[in-house]
Amino acid sequence: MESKKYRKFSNFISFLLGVFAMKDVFDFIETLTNYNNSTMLAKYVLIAQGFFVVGVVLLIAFYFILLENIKKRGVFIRRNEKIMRYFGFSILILGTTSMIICNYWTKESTTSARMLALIGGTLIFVSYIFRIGIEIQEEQDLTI
Amino acid sequence: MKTRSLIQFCNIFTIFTAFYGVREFLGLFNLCYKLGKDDTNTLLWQILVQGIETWGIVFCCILFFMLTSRAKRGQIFIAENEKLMMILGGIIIWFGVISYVLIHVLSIKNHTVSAAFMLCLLGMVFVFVSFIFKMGRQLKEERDLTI
Repeated sequence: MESKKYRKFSNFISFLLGVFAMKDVFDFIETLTNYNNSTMLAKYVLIAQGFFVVGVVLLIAFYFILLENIKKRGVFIRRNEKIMRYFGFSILILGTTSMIICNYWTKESTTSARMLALIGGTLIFVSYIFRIGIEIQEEQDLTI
Repeated sequence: MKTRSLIQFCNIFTIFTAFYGVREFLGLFNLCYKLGKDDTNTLLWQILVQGIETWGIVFCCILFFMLTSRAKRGQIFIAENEKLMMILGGIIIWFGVISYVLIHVLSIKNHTVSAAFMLCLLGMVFVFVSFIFKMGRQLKEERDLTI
């Protein structure tokens, strides 16, 4: 198994995610502390940004949990599949909600929210691939 | 193997991605319409960045469409899928990097760096999936040899 390469790449992604999320979270906190505008538009922008930030934080949490699981237990295990599915669905829903709020109530760009939703969808897709991989591994273990 | 749920999900997600791509293209057309009235450099760069991001989503749609068509034929853990993921993931990462640099260098107002960064991350997730495909393929080859 070439899980070394896989681990290195995952570590790199989680590092990048960490840097990005810190910036996004700090931006959100700054907006929240400077918030003294009571217009509905400002409120909606804040809500949409909040959903996006929660999505990114979940993405980081997902990578850290997945990396820990890979280090301790292995790659093709049921636990990883479940984690991918649950986190994928949560991220997809958060990204879509942020996109809908941006689209209908504010005139902000929705590209980043769309990308977040796409990442969530990709994680669900990977969870299905994992399920097939787990089945192959279980079959192989039984054959041996 | 339970590939039915995978195919169903891929079908839904391809439609979802195509919808996103169409929305992005509509935004691009809107910018092109504005360019007819106001041909400043800023708008031109904005169109360029929007175009790059749109192509990122279009590549994502193409990837899911091809994976679905191969999964229907029962071809999941194959070298072609792995290569496709690696190549398109690499292209999407480069798109993200280029749009990130353009937004930073040209300081385009209506575009945030988050979108470019998310595009990079999307590409990286695809490369990450290609590694999973590689591991799955090796596992499958081992199983076939054992049998």
